[in-house]
Formats: sequence, structure tokens, C-alpha cells
Amino acid sequence: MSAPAAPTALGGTNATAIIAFIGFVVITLGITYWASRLTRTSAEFFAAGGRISALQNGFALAGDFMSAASFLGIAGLVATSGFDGLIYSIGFLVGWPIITFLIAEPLRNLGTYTFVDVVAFRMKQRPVRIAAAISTLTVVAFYLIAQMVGAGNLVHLMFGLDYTAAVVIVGVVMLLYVLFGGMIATTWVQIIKAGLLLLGATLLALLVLAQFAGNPLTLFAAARDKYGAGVMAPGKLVASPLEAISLGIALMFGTAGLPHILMRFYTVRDAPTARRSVAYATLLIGFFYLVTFVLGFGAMAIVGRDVIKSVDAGGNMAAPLLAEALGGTGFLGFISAVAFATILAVVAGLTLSGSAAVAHDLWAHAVRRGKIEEREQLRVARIATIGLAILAIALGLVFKGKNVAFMVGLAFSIAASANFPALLLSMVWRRFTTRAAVASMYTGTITSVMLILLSPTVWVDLFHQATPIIELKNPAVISVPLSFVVGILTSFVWPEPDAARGFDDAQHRMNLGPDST
Amino acid sequence: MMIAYFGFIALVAFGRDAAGTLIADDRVSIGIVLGALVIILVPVLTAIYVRWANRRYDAAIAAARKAGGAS
Repeated sequence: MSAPAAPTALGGTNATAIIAFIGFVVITLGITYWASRLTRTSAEFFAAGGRISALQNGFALAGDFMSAASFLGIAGLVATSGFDGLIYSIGFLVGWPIITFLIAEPLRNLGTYTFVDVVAFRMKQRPVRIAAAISTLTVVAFYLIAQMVGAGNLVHLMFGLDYTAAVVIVGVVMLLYVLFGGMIATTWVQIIKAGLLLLGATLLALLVLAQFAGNPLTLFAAARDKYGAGVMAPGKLVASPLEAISLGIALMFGTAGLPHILMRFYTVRDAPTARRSVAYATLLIGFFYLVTFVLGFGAMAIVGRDVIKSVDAGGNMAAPLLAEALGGTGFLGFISAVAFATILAVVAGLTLSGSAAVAHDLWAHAVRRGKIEEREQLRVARIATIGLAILAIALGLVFKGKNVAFMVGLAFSIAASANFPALLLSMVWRRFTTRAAVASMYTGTITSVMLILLSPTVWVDLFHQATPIIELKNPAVISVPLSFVVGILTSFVWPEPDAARGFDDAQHRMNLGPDST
Repeated sequence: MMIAYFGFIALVAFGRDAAGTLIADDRVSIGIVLGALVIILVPVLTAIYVRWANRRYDAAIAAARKAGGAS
């Protein structure tokens, strides 16, 4: 069983996969129906009415994070590149405490639906809202690319469906969740999926360890015997010191700028609950990454790199292939269905946060200048959801065949450079101004997008040019400091007394919560 | 936390050979062991912080509300 032949059941019809997947969709659509009757106001649509508990939110946060990129992408990266995959895992994980220590609490106390509420609190609303909505939608778009590409590949391999049809199915099911069930349905889909994913990944890791007498050291030794000691050292993925640091910055501060994660802090009752939910989430995610690491090395030692790459050049199918090698087609089916559920849930969360940016920040505040009826905001949110679903499908089709973990790295770079500096400065620095917030967000968004366009990933791989204009694959090391510098300089050049006067009030509410003012 | 993380990243960036050094009968590298330790350390530190913050926070809130009510 430990040495499978190259042909696999992937791509054929897998009864277990179909049953498990249909079961998941039926149950979650049932929840969506239940949630749709509870979703009448914007507060319910965007924030589940603030009724989610700490443990539930912990699972949902972890679920948002344990995306297709984490499960398929990192297992694949570890299987094909060894040690390099670990760098991603740790970067993703360490971003969490940053959220707890710096951001969760003020965010919870100052905002209503989006992180922009915090940045805009003492600033002029319109310019800040517009800039933040643009950066949010850019992050959502890049993240969606990763998820949709993963979804397309997976359904294609699982059911033998056409890639295009697969992407369309994901888009439509996700649309149903968000459109009718809003945040309540999205949260529960996320909780169920996080539970299933942890269960599936843990079972698979136990099967791997059982092959090596329960000793991880024996597993690493087997991988070393097969591919040399290089698999346990930093490799070509982070070719230069600059590249490694850049990736590190992007992963660490990106988490603190991801709109769909930040949004989850509005679904709980108060700041202590928000904090506790981060502790649960960190625990779950840490455990999950340790498991994923075992899976990656297991796939390398048991399935072999050649087989993994022959099925999918990006290496994304390492975990499903490992499941098949160890547990037969039945287990493959279960793991594939779980991975698919994962993508669906994350795409739904992303779409919801994008729709909040459009309806709450762009429409309600920028276009209607805060004078908007409840029903209109909800209607705009639903229209935006449909638009985003169409966008997601289109992006999935354009970016076919890229490694999904890497695309998520890019989304993190943009989040780290566009959202994080403005959010942090607005919370800690009295003299931060409207103009500075706007300049910093545009600088972050534009610089990181431009650098990505000119990088090897897009310029060479996608546009088929001979040499990249910029060697750096990850822009964060340039764009994050630049965004901070622009924000600080602009504040000094054009001071804004009104914004500075609001600082004390903002601090007060940030620390004590809205009730005490 | 930041120290552990950026220490790890610095090791990866500048000490490629050191991170790849094999230990325990050449079965595992230092980089992997350290990486796993960082992963375990993060939830532990977070839990400690949250526990501490929720106690301090409740006390501070109560104190601030009392002060607000008295003035």
C-alpha cells in the first residue's frame, strides 16, 4: 500500500466523494435556509447580529484561515519543496497573535462592519472609505484567484468535470450561501468545514505516522533517503535573503489587513469574547499546520514527487494523492470533499467581505454620505454579492494552473501594504490625517500591484516575457515601509487639527468600548 | 513572539546552511525542529496573553466606569 502505481482514481468518478460532497452541500444549504429567515437587517447580514460565541468564532476564524491554500497548497509545497513549505505555515500562523495584540480589541470597540470604520472614525469619511474599499476589493480579488483556481482543479480532478464547469459550480453554490444566508450562514458553513477539515487532516496524518512506526523522525529520514538532505533546508523558493524577509513581512502583517478575517470580530458580543476567539483560533490553526507538515513530508516519502507533479504541476494534489495511497478511494473521496467544502466556505467569506466594502463603505458612506435606509444597504450588498460571484468565476478561469499558496502570498502582500499601515497609524498616532490615510492606502495598493505585475510570476509566467522587470517575487519588503513613510510624511506636510482632536475620543472608545461613552 | 518569528526568518534568509544542519542521527534538520517549536510557541503565548488581558481588562473597565460615575 505504501508504494502506489502512478495511475490514480483521481479524475474518475468517485462515489464517496460525490456522496460526501452532496451531503455537505445539502446540509449547508439547509443551514442557509434557516439563516435566511434570521437575516433581515444589515447587522445580521454582515455581522450575524453579534450573536456568535467565542468558541464558534474561533472555529470560524480558523476555518477562514485553513483555506485551500493552506491545506492543498502548503501540503503540496512541502511535498515538492520540503522545508520551504514550513516558512509559509509559520508566517500564516504568526500573523494571528499580531491581530490579538494590536488590532482585535480596538476594531471591535470602534467599528460596525468593516475595518474602515476604525480608520475613518475621526477622519473625513468619503475619501477614506473610497480608498479602503478599493484596497479591500483588490485583496479580495487576489485571494479569490487562489481559491477559485484551487476549486477548479479539485473538482476537475475529483469528478472528472471540466475545469470551467467546476469553477462555475463553486461560484454559484457560494453565491447561494452569501446571498440568502449572509454572515450567519457563512459562519456556520465555516464552522462545519473547519471541524471536517481538522478531522480529515488528523486522520490522514495518523495514517502517515502509522507507516513510520509512529515516529516523525523516521518519516523525515525516509524523505531524506529518497530526495537528499536538501529537503530539510531552505531551498529555491526563497532564493535570496531579501525574498525571505519580504515573504515574512507579507505573511505576518497581511493577516492584520485581511478584510474577511477582520470582519469576524464584529460577529461576537464584545472585546473579551473577540480575544478569546483568537486564542481558540490560534490553537486550532497551529495544530493544523503541524498536521499539514506531516502530510507534506508523508506525500513526499510515500507518493513521491514525480507522481504528484504528473497529476498537477503546481503540486496541489499532494494531500488527496496521499489519502488515496493510504486509505484507498473511499478516503480519497472524503478528503476531496472536505477540501472542496473548504474552498466553498472561504470563497463565501471573501465575497461577503467584498460585498460589505461595496455596500457599507462605498454605497452607504461614499455615495449616500451616510444617509441611507437599512433596506437599501442590504439590497446593494446583495447586488454586490452577485457581481463579486461573477468576478470570482472570471478570475478563476483566467488564472488556471498557478500554485495557489503563492497567489495567497500575493494577496497577503497587498493586505499588508494597503490596509495594515493605515489601520495601525490611525489607532496609535494622534497626528495621522485623512489625506495621509488615503495616500498610504493608495500607495500600498498601487505599489504592490505594480510590483506583482512586473515580477517573475506575472510578467514571465503569465505574459510570457523573457525577463522580469523586477526580480523580487514578493513586494512587501518595499511596499509596506513605503506605505508607512507616505502616511507619516503626508501627515506632517498637511496637518489636520479636526482629526487630531478626535483622537482622545477614539482612544477612549477603543479601550473601553462604545457602551461607556 | 516577533523575536521568535523574525529570528526564524533571519535564520532562513542568512543561515541557510545552519538551518539545514542535520541532527538526531541525521534524521531531521535544525530548521525543522525550530519551525515546529515556533508553531507550538505561538498558541501558548497567545493563550497566556488572552488570559492575562481578559483579567486586566475587566478590572480596568470596572475602575474606569467607577471613576466616570463619580465625576
